[in-house]
Amino acid sequence: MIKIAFPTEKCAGLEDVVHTRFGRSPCFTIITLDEENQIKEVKNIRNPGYEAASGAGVRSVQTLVDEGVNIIAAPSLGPNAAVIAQEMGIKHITIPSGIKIREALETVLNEIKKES
Amino acid sequence: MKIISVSGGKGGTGKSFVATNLAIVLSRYRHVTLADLDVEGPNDHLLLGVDLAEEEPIKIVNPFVKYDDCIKCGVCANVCDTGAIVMTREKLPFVMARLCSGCRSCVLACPTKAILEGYRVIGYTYHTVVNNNLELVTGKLREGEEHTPPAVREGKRRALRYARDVLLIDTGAGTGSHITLAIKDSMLLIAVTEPTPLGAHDLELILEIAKEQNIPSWVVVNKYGIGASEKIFEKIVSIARGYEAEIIAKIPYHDDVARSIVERRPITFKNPDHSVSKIFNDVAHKIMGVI
Repeated sequence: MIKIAFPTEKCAGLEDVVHTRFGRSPCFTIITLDEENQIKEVKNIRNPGYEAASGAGVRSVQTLVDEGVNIIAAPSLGPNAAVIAQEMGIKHITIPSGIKIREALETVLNEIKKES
Repeated sequence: MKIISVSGGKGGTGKSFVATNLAIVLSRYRHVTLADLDVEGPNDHLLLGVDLAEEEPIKIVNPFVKYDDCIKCGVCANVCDTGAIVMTREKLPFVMARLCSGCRSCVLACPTKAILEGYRVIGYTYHTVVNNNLELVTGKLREGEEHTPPAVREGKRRALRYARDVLLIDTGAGTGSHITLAIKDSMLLIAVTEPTPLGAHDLELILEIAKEQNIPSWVVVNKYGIGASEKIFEKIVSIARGYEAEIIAKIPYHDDVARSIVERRPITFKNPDHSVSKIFNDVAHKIMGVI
């Protein structure tokens, strides 16, 4: 089962927009796909890294590890987040900021298809 | 033994220039230990024209998890203030050394004592004898390290080992925890500023920090003559008055000073009769009056 996390601005699911930052984004939208890569669940969570004094990226990754996420789709990861995501076996797929989650999901699905 | 700090908030105002020259002049009266605690870029040795010597490592605790004893409770990750411990999917703690500040909270909190204390070198301290009445202690953080406070603490601790009459502390720029640690226990803070809007702004910040620690402050206005000096000097006067900080010196911007820095021969040493050197003599004399 694939779980993809997107940094988002308003915790507004598929209609939300990809945030410019990963560790400092207000929310994460987590999309669970079934075996046919169809959307099974859309979940919004607050990002504890948003208000963290330090270690925002690491805190964000921890939250996503706890949620069982295996793909992070974001414009870029900070240096600490990138290291820890890799250690935790989470893949990073690069997507542009400012686009709708619905649109961003297409990009991610294309990437997944390309690899399989 | 008296501790006097040289700070100023803004970078590039001449803190190290003032600290090194003051150290030279003060060492004619008393034994002086100059502590360069600008750990992210110490350069008093460059200004004094001496080399760093007697290197000692600055070690901080680095936690190692003994996975056989781990009960996967996650307490270590919860107590970690810097987010350096991440719990994996298998609920095992993973330590990210670079983020760890060495506080030992995880070591103390672990119910099964599964976290062992290793250490990691984050920087070095140095000790250089400049002459028989002046010694320099330098704290230096390794490139890429982000935890300045432990390096400042170690540099200060080492400086205290050699300090006899006067410990003169040269701090880095800023007003963060590395500065409050550096100036702690000082009997006097010499705030070095410059007649620019940025200098005036940051002067107020450092005076506020000193006030919080109940340290009386004096102000040195360096590089006087650049830009709109007169106008901003008025502002500096009013800021200093608000903190009951006396402006003890106005050092003019002078080519000879720039030259002395490039030559690595402090002006008070190279040319003791220079007008700028005389200002340092007056400041040292004033300091001798209070210690």
